[in-house]
Amino acid sequence: MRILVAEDERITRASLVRHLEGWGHSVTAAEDGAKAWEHFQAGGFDIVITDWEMPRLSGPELVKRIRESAVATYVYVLMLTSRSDKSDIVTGIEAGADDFVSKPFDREELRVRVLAGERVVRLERTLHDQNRELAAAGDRMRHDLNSAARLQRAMLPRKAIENPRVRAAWTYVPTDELAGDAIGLELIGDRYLVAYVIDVSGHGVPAALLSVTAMHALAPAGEGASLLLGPPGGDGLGPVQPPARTVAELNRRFCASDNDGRFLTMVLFAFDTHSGHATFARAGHPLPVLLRAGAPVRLSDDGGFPLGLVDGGAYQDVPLKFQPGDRFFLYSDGFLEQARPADGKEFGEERLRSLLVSLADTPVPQLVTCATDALAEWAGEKRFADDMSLVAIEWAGP
Amino acid sequence: MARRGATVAQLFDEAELMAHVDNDVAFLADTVQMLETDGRALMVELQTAVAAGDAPAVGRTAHTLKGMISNFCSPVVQALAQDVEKAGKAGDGAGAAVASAKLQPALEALIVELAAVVRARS
Repeated sequence: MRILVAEDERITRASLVRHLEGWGHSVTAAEDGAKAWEHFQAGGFDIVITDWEMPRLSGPELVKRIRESAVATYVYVLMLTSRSDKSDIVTGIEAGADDFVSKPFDREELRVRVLAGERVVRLERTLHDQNRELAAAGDRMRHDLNSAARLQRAMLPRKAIENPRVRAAWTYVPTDELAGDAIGLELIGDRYLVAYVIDVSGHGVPAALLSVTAMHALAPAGEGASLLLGPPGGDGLGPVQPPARTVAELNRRFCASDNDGRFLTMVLFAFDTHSGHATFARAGHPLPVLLRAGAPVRLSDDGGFPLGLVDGGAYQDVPLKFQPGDRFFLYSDGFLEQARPADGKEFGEERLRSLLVSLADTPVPQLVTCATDALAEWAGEKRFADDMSLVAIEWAGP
Repeated sequence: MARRGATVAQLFDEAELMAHVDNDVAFLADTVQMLETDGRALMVELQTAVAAGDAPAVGRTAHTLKGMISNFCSPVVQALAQDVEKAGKAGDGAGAAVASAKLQPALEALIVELAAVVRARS
Protein backbone atom coordinates (compact mmCIF):
# COMPACT_ATOMS: atom_id res chain seq x y z
CA MET A 1 0.00 0.00 0.00
CA ARG A 2 1.07 3.60 -0.56
CA ILE A 3 0.62 5.39 2.75
CA LEU A 4 0.76 9.11 3.47
CA VAL A 5 1.65 10.03 7.05
CA ALA A 6 0.81 13.51 8.31
CA GLU A 7 2.37 14.16 11.71
CA ASP A 8 4.04 17.35 12.87
CA GLU A 9 5.91 15.78 15.77
CA ARG A 10 9.18 14.37 14.45
CA ILE A 11 9.67 11.35 16.71
CA THR A 12 6.15 10.00 16.24
CA ARG A 13 6.47 10.61 12.51
CA ALA A 14 9.78 8.72 12.35
CA SER A 15 8.36 5.91 14.43
CA LEU A 16 5.28 5.59 12.20
CA VAL A 17 7.39 5.57 9.05
CA ARG A 18 9.74 2.95 10.46
CA HIS A 19 6.92 0.59 11.46
CA LEU A 20 4.95 1.02 8.24
CA GLU A 21 8.00 0.53 6.03
CA GLY A 22 8.93 -2.50 8.11
CA TRP A 23 5.55 -4.00 7.19
CA GLY A 24 6.28 -3.51 3.51
CA HIS A 25 4.40 -0.30 2.79
CA SER A 26 5.63 2.59 0.72
CA VAL A 27 5.46 5.64 2.98
CA THR A 28 5.53 9.37 2.36
CA ALA A 29 5.77 11.56 5.47
CA ALA A 30 4.62 15.17 5.82
CA GLU A 31 5.43 17.47 8.72
CA ASP A 32 2.08 19.27 8.70
CA GLY A 33 -1.40 19.12 7.18
CA ALA A 34 -0.69 21.55 4.35
CA LYS A 35 2.36 19.60 3.21
CA ALA A 36 0.34 16.38 3.43
CA TRP A 37 -2.35 17.95 1.24
CA GLU A 38 0.31 18.83 -1.36
CA HIS A 39 1.56 15.24 -1.37
CA PHE A 40 -1.99 13.92 -1.55
CA GLN A 41 -2.82 16.02 -4.59
CA ALA A 42 0.15 14.50 -6.39
CA GLY A 43 -1.92 11.31 -6.13
CA GLY A 44 -1.54 7.61 -5.69
CA PHE A 45 -2.14 7.07 -1.96
CA ASP A 46 -4.20 4.16 -0.67
CA ILE A 47 -4.15 5.04 3.03
CA VAL A 48 -3.67 8.33 4.90
CA ILE A 49 -2.65 8.36 8.55
CA THR A 50 -3.00 11.81 10.02
CA ASP A 51 -2.49 13.49 13.36
CA TRP A 52 -5.29 15.63 14.75
CA GLU A 53 -3.55 18.87 15.74
CA MET A 54 -1.07 20.14 13.17
CA PRO A 55 0.17 23.57 12.10
CA ARG A 56 -1.27 25.19 8.96
CA LEU A 57 -3.91 22.52 8.32
CA SER A 58 -5.52 20.35 10.98
CA GLY A 59 -6.18 16.63 10.63
CA PRO A 60 -9.99 16.99 10.32
CA GLU A 61 -9.57 19.73 7.71
CA LEU A 62 -7.12 17.55 5.76
CA VAL A 63 -9.60 14.65 5.85
CA LYS A 64 -12.42 16.93 4.72
CA ARG A 65 -10.35 18.05 1.73
CA ILE A 66 -9.49 14.45 0.87
CA ARG A 67 -13.15 13.47 0.89
CA GLU A 68 -14.13 16.47 -1.21
CA SER A 69 -11.40 15.79 -3.76
CA ALA A 70 -12.20 13.98 -7.00
CA VAL A 71 -9.92 10.98 -6.49
CA ALA A 72 -10.94 8.04 -8.64
CA THR A 73 -10.61 5.39 -5.95
CA TYR A 74 -11.36 5.28 -2.25
CA VAL A 75 -8.66 6.42 0.19
CA TYR A 76 -8.78 4.92 3.67
CA VAL A 77 -8.11 7.45 6.43
CA LEU A 78 -6.82 6.67 9.91
CA MET A 79 -6.66 9.47 12.48
CA LEU A 80 -4.25 9.57 15.38
CA THR A 81 -5.81 10.81 18.57
CA SER A 82 -4.94 10.96 22.26
CA ARG A 83 -6.60 8.50 24.59
CA SER A 84 -8.15 11.44 26.39
CA ASP A 85 -9.74 12.81 23.22
CA LYS A 86 -12.37 10.12 22.55
CA SER A 87 -15.03 12.78 22.05
CA ASP A 88 -13.09 13.88 18.97
CA ILE A 89 -14.07 10.61 17.27
CA VAL A 90 -17.46 12.03 16.31
CA THR A 91 -15.84 15.06 14.69
CA GLY A 92 -13.29 12.88 12.89
CA ILE A 93 -15.88 10.44 11.54
CA GLU A 94 -18.04 13.33 10.40
CA ALA A 95 -15.04 14.82 8.61
CA GLY A 96 -14.60 11.52 6.76
CA ALA A 97 -12.13 9.44 8.77
CA ASP A 98 -12.60 5.67 8.65
CA ASP A 99 -10.87 4.66 11.87
CA PHE A 100 -8.70 5.87 14.73
CA VAL A 101 -5.42 4.91 16.30
CA SER A 102 -4.82 6.02 19.85
CA LYS A 103 -1.71 8.01 20.79
CA PRO A 104 0.71 6.90 22.03
CA PHE A 105 0.08 4.24 19.44
CA ASP A 106 0.56 0.61 20.15
CA ARG A 107 2.57 -1.08 17.41
CA GLU A 108 0.22 -4.10 17.11
CA GLU A 109 -2.88 -1.92 17.20
CA LEU A 110 -1.44 0.20 14.40
CA ARG A 111 -0.57 -2.92 12.38
CA VAL A 112 -4.05 -4.45 12.57
CA ARG A 113 -5.83 -1.17 11.91
CA VAL A 114 -3.70 -0.62 8.81
CA LEU A 115 -4.45 -4.24 7.87
CA ALA A 116 -8.19 -3.53 8.16
CA GLY A 117 -7.66 -0.46 5.98
CA GLU A 118 -5.85 -2.57 3.40
CA ARG A 119 -8.82 -4.95 3.23
CA VAL A 120 -11.23 -2.07 2.67
CA VAL A 121 -8.97 -0.54 0.02
CA ARG A 122 -8.57 -3.86 -1.82
CA LEU A 123 -12.31 -4.51 -1.70
CA GLU A 124 -12.99 -1.03 -2.97
CA ARG A 125 -10.45 -1.47 -5.78
CA THR A 126 -12.09 -4.75 -6.77
CA LEU A 127 -15.49 -3.07 -6.77
CA HIS A 128 -14.09 -0.13 -8.71
CA ASP A 129 -12.57 -2.45 -11.33
CA GLN A 130 -15.78 -4.45 -11.59
CA ASN A 131 -17.83 -1.27 -11.99
CA ARG A 132 -15.46 -0.11 -14.71
CA GLU A 133 -15.79 -3.46 -16.49
CA LEU A 134 -19.59 -3.28 -16.13
CA ALA A 135 -19.61 0.23 -17.54
CA ALA A 136 -17.42 -0.88 -20.44
CA ALA A 137 -19.69 -3.87 -21.05
CA GLY A 138 -22.69 -1.52 -20.93
CA ASP A 139 -21.03 0.77 -23.46
CA ARG A 140 -20.28 -2.17 -25.74
CA MET A 141 -23.87 -3.42 -25.47
CA ARG A 142 -25.23 0.06 -26.14
CA HIS A 143 -22.93 0.37 -29.13
CA ASP A 144 -23.98 -3.06 -30.38
CA LEU A 145 -27.66 -2.24 -29.86
CA ASN A 146 -27.27 1.01 -31.79
CA SER A 147 -25.48 -0.84 -34.59
CA ALA A 148 -28.21 -3.49 -34.65
CA ALA A 149 -30.87 -0.77 -34.67
CA ARG A 150 -29.15 0.92 -37.63
CA LEU A 151 -29.06 -2.41 -39.46
CA GLN A 152 -32.72 -3.00 -38.68
CA ARG A 153 -33.66 0.48 -39.92
CA ALA A 154 -31.66 -0.19 -43.08
CA MET A 155 -34.06 -3.05 -43.87
CA LEU A 156 -37.10 -0.77 -43.75
CA PRO A 157 -38.59 0.53 -46.99
CA ARG A 158 -36.24 3.11 -48.48
CA LYS A 159 -38.88 5.68 -49.32
CA ALA A 160 -42.52 6.31 -49.98
CA ILE A 161 -44.00 5.17 -53.30
CA GLU A 162 -45.45 7.79 -55.57
CA ASN A 163 -46.46 7.27 -59.17
CA PRO A 164 -49.52 8.25 -61.22
CA ARG A 165 -51.47 5.19 -60.06
CA VAL A 166 -50.48 4.67 -56.46
CA ARG A 167 -49.09 6.55 -53.52
CA ALA A 168 -47.91 4.81 -50.38
CA ALA A 169 -46.14 6.00 -47.24
CA TRP A 170 -45.27 4.55 -43.88
CA THR A 171 -44.26 5.44 -40.36
CA TYR A 172 -42.48 3.32 -37.79
CA VAL A 173 -41.77 4.29 -34.20
CA PRO A 174 -39.86 1.68 -32.16
CA THR A 175 -40.29 1.81 -28.40
CA ASP A 176 -36.67 0.75 -27.74
CA GLU A 177 -33.49 0.84 -29.80
CA LEU A 178 -34.55 -2.40 -31.44
CA ALA A 179 -38.11 -3.05 -32.56
CA GLY A 180 -40.29 -6.14 -32.72
CA ASP A 181 -42.32 -4.55 -35.51
CA ALA A 182 -41.33 -4.92 -39.13
CA ILE A 183 -42.84 -3.32 -42.18
CA GLY A 184 -42.39 -3.83 -45.89
CA LEU A 185 -43.44 -1.76 -48.85
CA GLU A 186 -42.29 -2.61 -52.35
CA LEU A 187 -43.41 -1.91 -55.90
CA ILE A 188 -42.40 -4.91 -57.98
CA GLY A 189 -42.01 -4.45 -61.73
CA ASP A 190 -43.49 -0.94 -61.36
CA ARG A 191 -46.93 -2.58 -61.09
CA TYR A 192 -47.39 -4.94 -58.16
CA LEU A 193 -47.35 -3.36 -54.74
CA VAL A 194 -46.61 -5.54 -51.74
CA ALA A 195 -46.94 -4.27 -48.19
CA TYR A 196 -46.84 -5.97 -44.83
CA VAL A 197 -46.72 -5.26 -41.12
CA ILE A 198 -45.30 -7.83 -38.70
CA ASP A 199 -45.44 -7.62 -34.92
CA VAL A 200 -43.31 -9.99 -32.83
CA SER A 201 -44.48 -10.66 -29.27
CA GLY A 202 -42.26 -9.01 -26.69
CA HIS A 203 -39.50 -6.47 -27.13
CA GLY A 204 -35.75 -6.21 -27.24
CA VAL A 205 -33.10 -8.22 -29.02
CA PRO A 206 -34.98 -11.57 -29.36
CA ALA A 207 -38.06 -9.87 -30.83
CA ALA A 208 -35.90 -7.76 -33.15
CA LEU A 209 -34.00 -10.81 -34.38
CA LEU A 210 -37.28 -12.57 -35.25
CA SER A 211 -38.62 -9.50 -37.03
CA VAL A 212 -35.39 -9.19 -39.03
CA THR A 213 -35.57 -12.89 -39.90
CA ALA A 214 -39.10 -12.37 -41.23
CA MET A 215 -38.07 -9.24 -43.17
CA HIS A 216 -35.16 -11.11 -44.68
CA ALA A 217 -37.41 -13.98 -45.81
CA LEU A 218 -39.77 -11.46 -47.43
CA ALA A 219 -37.14 -9.22 -48.98
CA PRO A 220 -37.75 -9.10 -52.73
CA ALA A 221 -34.13 -8.07 -53.41
CA GLY A 222 -32.90 -11.65 -53.69
CA GLU A 223 -35.96 -12.43 -55.70
CA GLY A 224 -35.24 -16.10 -56.31
CA ALA A 225 -35.41 -16.82 -52.57
CA SER A 226 -38.13 -14.38 -51.56
CA LEU A 227 -41.27 -15.92 -50.09
CA LEU A 228 -43.25 -13.11 -51.66
CA LEU A 229 -42.73 -14.33 -55.17
CA GLY A 230 -44.23 -17.35 -56.84
CA PRO A 231 -43.27 -19.36 -59.92
CA PRO A 232 -43.94 -17.78 -63.34
CA GLY A 233 -47.55 -18.30 -64.42
CA GLY A 234 -48.67 -18.98 -60.88
CA ASP A 235 -52.05 -18.17 -59.33
CA GLY A 236 -51.07 -14.92 -57.61
CA LEU A 237 -51.01 -11.36 -58.76
CA GLY A 238 -48.34 -11.42 -61.44
CA PRO A 239 -45.09 -12.60 -59.86
CA VAL A 240 -46.46 -12.14 -56.34
CA GLN A 241 -47.75 -15.35 -54.92
CA PRO A 242 -51.03 -15.40 -52.97
CA PRO A 243 -50.41 -13.78 -49.55
CA ALA A 244 -52.01 -16.67 -47.64
CA ARG A 245 -49.43 -19.04 -49.14
CA THR A 246 -46.57 -16.78 -48.12
CA VAL A 247 -47.99 -16.42 -44.62
CA ALA A 248 -48.42 -20.22 -44.33
CA GLU A 249 -44.82 -20.79 -45.40
CA LEU A 250 -43.57 -18.27 -42.84
CA ASN A 251 -45.67 -20.03 -40.20
CA ARG A 252 -44.13 -23.37 -41.16
CA ARG A 253 -40.63 -21.95 -40.81
CA PHE A 254 -41.26 -20.29 -37.47
CA CYS A 255 -42.99 -23.39 -36.06
CA ALA A 256 -39.93 -25.43 -37.05
CA SER A 257 -37.50 -23.13 -35.25
CA ASP A 258 -37.00 -22.40 -31.57
CA ASN A 259 -38.45 -18.96 -30.98
CA ASP A 260 -38.18 -19.06 -27.20
CA GLY A 261 -41.96 -18.99 -26.88
CA ARG A 262 -42.35 -15.97 -29.13
CA PHE A 263 -44.86 -15.65 -31.95
CA LEU A 264 -45.56 -13.15 -34.71
CA THR A 265 -48.69 -11.52 -36.04
CA MET A 266 -48.76 -10.37 -39.62
CA VAL A 267 -50.84 -8.84 -42.35
CA LEU A 268 -49.63 -9.17 -45.94
CA PHE A 269 -51.16 -7.22 -48.80
CA ALA A 270 -50.61 -7.65 -52.54
CA PHE A 271 -52.02 -5.19 -55.07
CA ASP A 272 -52.05 -4.93 -58.87
CA THR A 273 -51.87 -1.17 -59.35
CA HIS A 274 -52.96 -1.55 -62.98
CA SER A 275 -56.15 -3.48 -62.44
CA GLY A 276 -57.06 -2.54 -58.84
CA HIS A 277 -57.21 -6.22 -57.82
CA ALA A 278 -55.80 -6.87 -54.36
CA THR A 279 -55.54 -9.63 -51.79
CA PHE A 280 -54.56 -9.68 -48.17
CA ALA A 281 -54.03 -12.38 -45.58
CA ARG A 282 -53.79 -12.10 -41.81
CA ALA A 283 -52.16 -14.13 -39.08
CA GLY A 284 -53.55 -12.94 -35.76
CA HIS A 285 -53.03 -9.33 -36.83
CA PRO A 286 -55.46 -6.38 -36.55
CA LEU A 287 -57.81 -6.00 -39.51
CA PRO A 288 -56.68 -3.40 -42.09
CA VAL A 289 -58.82 -0.36 -42.80
CA LEU A 290 -60.22 0.38 -46.27
CA LEU A 291 -61.67 3.84 -46.87
CA ARG A 292 -63.81 4.41 -49.93
CA ALA A 293 -65.04 7.93 -50.66
CA GLY A 294 -63.80 8.83 -47.18
CA ALA A 295 -65.84 6.15 -45.36
CA PRO A 296 -64.74 2.79 -43.89
CA VAL A 297 -65.64 -0.34 -45.87
CA ARG A 298 -66.39 -3.49 -43.92
CA LEU A 299 -63.75 -6.14 -44.61
CA SER A 300 -63.86 -9.88 -44.12
CA ASP A 301 -62.23 -10.79 -40.84
CA ASP A 302 -60.99 -14.15 -42.15
CA GLY A 303 -57.56 -14.93 -40.81
CA GLY A 304 -55.46 -17.48 -39.01
CA PHE A 305 -53.42 -17.99 -35.89
CA PRO A 306 -50.29 -15.95 -35.25
CA LEU A 307 -47.14 -17.34 -36.85
CA GLY A 308 -45.14 -19.85 -34.87
CA LEU A 309 -48.04 -21.14 -32.74
CA VAL A 310 -49.85 -23.84 -34.74
CA ASP A 311 -47.89 -25.99 -37.15
CA GLY A 312 -49.85 -26.44 -40.40
CA GLY A 313 -52.18 -23.53 -39.58
CA ALA A 314 -54.45 -22.45 -42.41
CA TYR A 315 -54.67 -18.88 -43.71
CA GLN A 316 -57.18 -17.28 -46.04
CA ASP A 317 -56.73 -14.82 -48.85
CA VAL A 318 -59.21 -11.98 -48.73
CA PRO A 319 -59.74 -10.57 -52.25
CA LEU A 320 -60.53 -6.91 -52.84
CA LYS A 321 -61.30 -4.80 -55.88
CA PHE A 322 -60.13 -1.25 -55.41
CA GLN A 323 -61.91 1.77 -56.79
CA PRO A 324 -60.09 4.96 -57.72
CA GLY A 325 -59.48 7.08 -54.62
CA ASP A 326 -59.58 4.11 -52.20
CA ARG A 327 -57.22 4.21 -49.28
CA PHE A 328 -55.93 1.12 -47.48
CA PHE A 329 -54.14 1.05 -44.11
CA LEU A 330 -52.05 -1.58 -42.39
CA TYR A 331 -50.92 -1.01 -38.81
CA SER A 332 -49.65 -2.75 -35.71
CA ASP A 333 -51.52 -3.16 -32.44
CA GLY A 334 -49.17 -0.62 -30.85
CA PHE A 335 -51.44 1.95 -32.48
CA LEU A 336 -54.62 0.49 -31.00
CA GLU A 337 -53.34 -0.37 -27.53
CA GLN A 338 -51.58 2.89 -26.72
CA ALA A 339 -53.10 4.02 -23.41
CA ARG A 340 -53.94 7.58 -22.43
CA PRO A 341 -52.01 8.33 -19.22
CA ALA A 342 -54.89 10.13 -17.54
CA ASP A 343 -57.32 7.19 -17.52
CA GLY A 344 -55.53 4.25 -19.15
CA LYS A 345 -58.03 4.24 -22.02
CA GLU A 346 -56.65 2.68 -25.21
CA PHE A 347 -56.66 4.47 -28.56
CA GLY A 348 -58.71 1.63 -30.09
CA GLU A 349 -60.00 0.67 -33.53
CA GLU A 350 -62.93 3.09 -33.59
CA ARG A 351 -60.72 6.09 -32.81
CA LEU A 352 -58.20 4.97 -35.44
CA ARG A 353 -60.92 4.68 -38.09
CA SER A 354 -62.30 8.10 -37.13
CA LEU A 355 -58.79 9.57 -37.29
CA LEU A 356 -58.16 8.13 -40.76
CA VAL A 357 -61.56 9.40 -41.94
CA SER A 358 -60.77 12.86 -40.57
CA LEU A 359 -57.54 12.82 -42.60
CA ALA A 360 -59.31 11.82 -45.81
CA ASP A 361 -58.22 15.02 -47.55
CA THR A 362 -54.65 14.89 -46.27
CA PRO A 363 -52.14 13.60 -48.81
CA VAL A 364 -50.81 10.15 -47.89
CA PRO A 365 -47.20 11.23 -47.14
CA GLN A 366 -48.44 13.84 -44.65
CA LEU A 367 -51.19 11.57 -43.34
CA VAL A 368 -48.82 9.11 -41.68
CA THR A 369 -47.11 11.98 -39.85
CA CYS A 370 -50.44 13.46 -38.75
CA ALA A 371 -51.59 10.05 -37.50
CA THR A 372 -48.39 9.63 -35.49
CA ASP A 373 -48.83 13.10 -34.01
CA ALA A 374 -52.39 12.28 -33.02
CA LEU A 375 -51.22 9.13 -31.25
CA ALA A 376 -48.44 11.08 -29.52
CA GLU A 377 -51.02 13.58 -28.30
CA TRP A 378 -53.07 10.67 -26.94
CA ALA A 379 -49.99 9.17 -25.24
CA GLY A 380 -48.78 12.53 -23.91
CA GLU A 381 -45.37 12.00 -25.56
CA LYS A 382 -43.89 10.70 -28.79
CA ARG A 383 -42.58 7.59 -27.11
CA PHE A 384 -45.08 4.81 -27.17
CA ALA A 385 -45.61 1.80 -24.93
CA ASP A 386 -45.24 -0.56 -27.89
CA ASP A 387 -43.68 -0.39 -31.33
CA MET A 388 -45.99 1.46 -33.69
CA SER A 389 -46.22 0.94 -37.44
CA LEU A 390 -48.57 2.35 -40.03
CA VAL A 391 -48.61 1.88 -43.81
CA ALA A 392 -50.98 4.00 -45.91
CA ILE A 393 -51.75 3.24 -49.57
CA GLU A 394 -53.90 5.28 -51.96
CA TRP A 395 -54.95 4.15 -55.44
CA ALA A 396 -55.57 6.87 -58.00
CA GLY A 397 -56.93 4.48 -60.61
CA PRO A 398 -55.65 2.38 -63.55
CA MET B 1 19.85 -7.54 29.26
CA ALA B 2 17.40 -4.80 30.24
CA ARG B 3 18.42 -2.26 32.84
CA ARG B 4 16.32 -2.41 35.94
CA GLY B 5 17.63 0.52 37.94
CA ALA B 6 15.18 2.12 40.38
CA THR B 7 15.38 5.59 38.82
CA VAL B 8 14.86 4.32 35.30
CA ALA B 9 11.94 2.21 36.39
CA GLN B 10 10.26 5.29 37.80
CA LEU B 11 10.44 7.30 34.58
CA PHE B 12 9.84 4.80 31.76
CA ASP B 13 9.14 1.16 31.04
CA GLU B 14 12.31 -0.04 29.35
CA ALA B 15 10.91 -3.39 28.24
CA GLU B 16 7.90 -1.73 26.64
CA LEU B 17 10.13 0.87 25.03
CA MET B 18 12.43 -1.75 23.50
CA ALA B 19 9.41 -3.63 22.16
CA HIS B 20 8.08 -0.39 20.72
CA VAL B 21 11.28 0.12 18.73
CA ASP B 22 11.56 -3.57 17.83
CA ASN B 23 14.78 -3.74 19.91
CA ASP B 24 16.38 -1.51 17.34
CA VAL B 25 18.94 0.36 19.47
CA ALA B 26 20.14 2.47 16.55
CA PHE B 27 16.60 3.72 15.96
CA LEU B 28 16.17 4.32 19.69
CA ALA B 29 19.38 6.34 19.67
CA ASP B 30 18.04 8.43 16.80
CA THR B 31 14.78 9.14 18.60
CA VAL B 32 16.52 9.97 21.88
CA GLN B 33 18.72 12.37 19.95
CA MET B 34 15.56 13.97 18.51
CA LEU B 35 14.13 14.25 22.03
CA GLU B 36 17.29 15.98 23.17
CA THR B 37 17.05 18.60 20.41
CA ASP B 38 13.32 18.90 19.63
CA GLY B 39 12.15 18.16 23.18
CA ARG B 40 14.45 20.71 24.78
CA ALA B 41 13.51 23.26 22.10
CA LEU B 42 9.84 22.69 22.76
CA MET B 43 10.43 23.04 26.49
CA VAL B 44 12.06 26.43 25.92
CA GLU B 45 9.17 27.42 23.66
CA LEU B 46 6.74 26.30 26.34
CA GLN B 47 8.44 28.27 29.08
CA THR B 48 8.46 31.36 26.86
CA ALA B 49 4.72 30.98 26.22
CA VAL B 50 4.08 30.50 29.95
CA ALA B 51 6.08 33.61 30.76
CA ALA B 52 4.19 35.58 28.11
CA GLY B 53 0.83 34.32 29.40
CA ASP B 54 0.04 32.99 25.91
CA ALA B 55 -2.35 30.24 26.94
CA PRO B 56 -3.18 28.94 23.42
CA ALA B 57 0.55 28.61 22.66
CA VAL B 58 1.05 26.87 25.99
CA GLY B 59 -1.69 24.34 25.21
CA ARG B 60 -0.47 23.76 21.65
CA THR B 61 3.19 23.35 22.57
CA ALA B 62 2.48 21.14 25.55
CA HIS B 63 0.29 18.97 23.34
CA THR B 64 3.15 18.44 20.88
CA LEU B 65 5.59 17.77 23.70
CA LYS B 66 3.19 15.27 25.22
CA GLY B 67 2.96 13.41 21.90
CA MET B 68 6.75 13.36 21.62
CA ILE B 69 7.20 11.97 25.14
CA SER B 70 4.54 9.33 24.50
CA ASN B 71 7.03 7.53 22.24
CA PHE B 72 9.22 6.71 25.25
CA CYS B 73 6.75 4.75 27.38
CA SER B 74 6.94 7.25 30.19
CA PRO B 75 3.44 7.77 31.58
CA VAL B 76 4.80 9.86 34.44
CA VAL B 77 6.48 12.52 32.28
CA GLN B 78 3.68 12.31 29.72
CA ALA B 79 1.15 13.05 32.49
CA LEU B 80 3.16 16.11 33.52
CA ALA B 81 3.07 17.40 29.93
CA GLN B 82 -0.66 16.76 29.84
CA ASP B 83 -1.11 18.83 33.03
CA VAL B 84 0.56 21.77 31.27
CA GLU B 85 -1.57 21.24 28.16
CA LYS B 86 -4.79 21.17 30.22
CA ALA B 87 -3.84 24.31 32.11
CA GLY B 88 -2.93 26.09 28.86
CA LYS B 89 -6.15 25.07 27.10
CA ALA B 90 -8.13 26.13 30.18
CA GLY B 91 -6.40 29.54 30.13
CA ASP B 92 -4.97 28.81 33.59
CA GLY B 93 -1.67 30.72 33.44
CA ALA B 94 -0.72 30.08 37.08
CA GLY B 95 -1.47 26.38 36.78
CA ALA B 96 0.55 26.20 33.56
CA ALA B 97 3.52 27.83 35.28
CA VAL B 98 3.41 25.36 38.16
CA ALA B 99 2.98 22.36 35.85
CA SER B 100 5.71 23.41 33.44
CA ALA B 101 8.08 23.92 36.37
CA LYS B 102 7.52 20.26 37.26
CA LEU B 103 7.78 19.10 33.66
CA GLN B 104 11.14 20.69 32.85
CA PRO B 105 13.32 18.67 35.27
CA ALA B 106 11.35 15.51 34.62
CA LEU B 107 12.02 15.86 30.90
CA GLU B 108 15.70 16.47 31.55
CA ALA B 109 15.85 13.38 33.75
CA LEU B 110 14.10 11.32 31.12
CA ILE B 111 16.55 12.44 28.44
CA VAL B 112 19.50 11.58 30.65
CA GLU B 113 18.16 8.17 31.54
CA LEU B 114 17.21 7.33 27.97
CA ALA B 115 20.68 8.29 26.81
CA ALA B 116 22.10 5.99 29.47
CA VAL B 117 20.02 3.09 28.18
CA VAL B 118 21.21 3.76 24.64
CA ARG B 119 24.83 3.81 25.78
CA ALA B 120 24.40 0.61 27.74
CA ARG B 121 22.83 -1.22 24.83
CA SER B 122 25.10 0.07 22.08
